[in-house]
Amino acid sequence: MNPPPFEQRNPYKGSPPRPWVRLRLEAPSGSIEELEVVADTGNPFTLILGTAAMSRLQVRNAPTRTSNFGLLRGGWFRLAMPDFGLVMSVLGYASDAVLTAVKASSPDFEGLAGLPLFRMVEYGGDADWFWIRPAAGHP
Amino acid sequence: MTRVVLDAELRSKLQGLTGPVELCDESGKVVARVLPVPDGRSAGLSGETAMPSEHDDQAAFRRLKPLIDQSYERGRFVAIFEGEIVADAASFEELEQLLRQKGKDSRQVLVIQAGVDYSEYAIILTQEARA
Repeated sequence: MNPPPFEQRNPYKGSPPRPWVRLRLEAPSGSIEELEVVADTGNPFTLILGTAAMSRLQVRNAPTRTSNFGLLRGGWFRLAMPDFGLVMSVLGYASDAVLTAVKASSPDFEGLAGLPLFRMVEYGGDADWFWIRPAAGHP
Repeated sequence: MTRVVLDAELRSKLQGLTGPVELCDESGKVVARVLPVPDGRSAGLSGETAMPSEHDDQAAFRRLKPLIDQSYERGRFVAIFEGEIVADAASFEELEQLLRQKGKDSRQVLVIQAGVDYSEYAIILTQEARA
């Protein structure tokens, strides 16, 4: 029997309940930080964090842009999740308005992961759980 | 650039300039955006405020964007610092290496990809936007 594929499986959390994932990001200092972020395939950006997290984790600056949450500050972040094949720099944003919105559901949440992130893995959910797995072809 | 002196009424309309403000016309169309400058921190500006070089590089990015899109292959990574293009490479990791070699270690170096539209208004669905 084959072992089950590696996956991260999380019960919905918050009020209202939200699907979420735990991301690992590498700070410029080389330290690794884990953040719980809401999984939102309606978000067109890989990652949106609060400005405080951005100031700790941003590797390089990126263009600012506007959204229905107001201005989003751009920055490049380093994903450090080799189990999922996610060891790369990604363009993300910071918005305290978005942070406030996700924290209204649960104070544990530190941001919002979007469709570009989930397209790099396999993702799914059922009545109780949301999960991600490495993309097919990832060893 | 035109300079406008803030009186109490205008400052109040701009919500004390405690963060970025959009100026709209009567129809709700955004006609301008105002970003507080860091030395306004004494007036209570938040950590969202950008550093001066960051402001400069955001402006430089908007100025250089047409040239970058014309001169560099689509998707190529281009770094802007202190108003100038300082490096370019095929991947982010190669660009990082080049920037380190040039001693450009600042996290404020602005990195873009040629041909990517960063100006498009983004809608973040399924979350409630602020009022």
